[in-house]
Amino acid sequence: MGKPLFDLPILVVDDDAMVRGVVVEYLKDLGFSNILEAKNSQHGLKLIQNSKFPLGLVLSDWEMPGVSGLVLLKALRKNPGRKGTRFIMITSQRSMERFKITQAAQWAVNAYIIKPFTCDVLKEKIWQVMGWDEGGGTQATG
Amino acid sequence: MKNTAKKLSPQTGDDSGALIGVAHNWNKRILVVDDEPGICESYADILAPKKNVLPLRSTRTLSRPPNEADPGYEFEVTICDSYDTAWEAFQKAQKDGRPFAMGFFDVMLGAEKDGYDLVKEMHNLNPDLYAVFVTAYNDRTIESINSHLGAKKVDRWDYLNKPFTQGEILQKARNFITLWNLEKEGELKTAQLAEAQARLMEGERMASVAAVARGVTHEFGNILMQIMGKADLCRKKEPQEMKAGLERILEASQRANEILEKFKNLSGTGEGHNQKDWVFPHHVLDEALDLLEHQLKTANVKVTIIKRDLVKVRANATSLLQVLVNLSINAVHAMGNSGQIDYAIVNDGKWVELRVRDYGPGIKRELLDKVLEPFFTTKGKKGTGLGLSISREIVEMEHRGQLKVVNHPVKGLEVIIRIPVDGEGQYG
Repeated sequence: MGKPLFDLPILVVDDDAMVRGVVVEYLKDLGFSNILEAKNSQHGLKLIQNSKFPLGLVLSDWEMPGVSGLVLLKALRKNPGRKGTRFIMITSQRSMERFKITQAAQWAVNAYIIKPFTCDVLKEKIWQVMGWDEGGGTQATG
Repeated sequence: MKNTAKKLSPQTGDDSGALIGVAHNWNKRILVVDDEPGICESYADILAPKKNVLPLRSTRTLSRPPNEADPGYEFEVTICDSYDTAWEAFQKAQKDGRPFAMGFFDVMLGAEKDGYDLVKEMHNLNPDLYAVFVTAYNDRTIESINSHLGAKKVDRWDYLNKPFTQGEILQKARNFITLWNLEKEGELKTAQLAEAQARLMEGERMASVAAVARGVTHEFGNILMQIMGKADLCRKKEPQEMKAGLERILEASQRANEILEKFKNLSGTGEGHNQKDWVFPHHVLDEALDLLEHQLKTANVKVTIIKRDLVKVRANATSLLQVLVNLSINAVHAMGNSGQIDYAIVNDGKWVELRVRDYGPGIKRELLDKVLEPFFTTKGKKGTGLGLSISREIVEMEHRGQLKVVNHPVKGLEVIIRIPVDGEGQYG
């Protein structure tokens, strides 16, 4: 367990701009300052494969055209320069098929989060996945 | 008739009134009418012989126990000695829901009205009743009896001369009891078939609903994310930001409502989904593409509308929607990962032509006819095999149009639908 790192580089991938926007705003509200956005999964794939950009956490939608969240997860795990990067899968299917779940588990997804979710739920997942103590939270806004 | 059938195995669960699984219990009720006591005894001996002889009463109901000579024919015999008691017994049987299948009717009943009048009156309440007229005199010709009872009843009666033999009575009883029950079984089977067909169609519709449902779930997940997100974020912000957030929430809610309405249309819970009205096919196409947006995106399928004539046609919008959704799903499946679907809506005078063409492998020439048959599928376990045949039924039966499946000269399969603008049309 450790203290939260608010400059953790976080990548958000979702082809739905609205949803992506909400997630990014949530992260900002939680105090994170180093947020990367990928407007489609291909873009996200490039960012994951190119180890020049450090990444501590990836938040990705599962159901995306072309490159799905699962493909991104695999790419992350296959990249030796990305050891230790956590991956949270965002999905809208409450009952995901067994196949999907086993696949993601096989590639060591760290957690799932089901749309729609509030900021508190996101915080809980991130803190849990990163192994952080309580502390930090929504920044006071002015 | 319902009361003669007994539920053997409720395979269909709690559907009240469901016919499937219902079996028909044979009706073996026979009515005997004769004013001579001696004759009544004869009938009793022949049709329901018992070791003990019961005292003579005006009406009695006997059962014939099965014996080795002829198992399975246990008649339930009711013997009446006058027109009035017979009519009474008949009415009671109707009221109890246990009508007589057949009767032996003495013609001369010692009153103003004879056996023919009795049967004619009975046919008003029980038109399927089989009657055997038993007479000592040839007082009426066959033709006069036919005109008395009505031509439609010509196969419902027969006659016997007195004195009759045991064999004659027994055979007539067996024949007509069998006829009655086979007829009822036939009616039951026809009704069961109709019900099964209706359920199949419903099942197929539900399959296309299910296919669209995933997309709707995904859309809803996103829209709710916007609503929830904005609400969560803006409640701690300045009024200006709050206002902007609320605007976005309202927009998102409206979008959700639109999707829900379209989905309701498809699943048939919208209003008036079984009627024909003046419909713009391009609206229906837009709705179908909207519903399938998620599927199409995920499968990386490009949609091209090569012709989009604005033309009104008399149609059932919900059914047409189902057809277009169906054909589109087939097209997506035909192409696996990525591809293109071309849609065309063409105004052809008295007809409207709708075309859905994919860029998949097409279908082998020999199978092009088979592909429209129910249960034929190339999708293995994934396909129910009913989509195309039900689409054809909707187009041809409900809309009096035509549905053709052809291999596109360049590539892929094309489904061509022609519907008469006025909803009438002729085949061909």
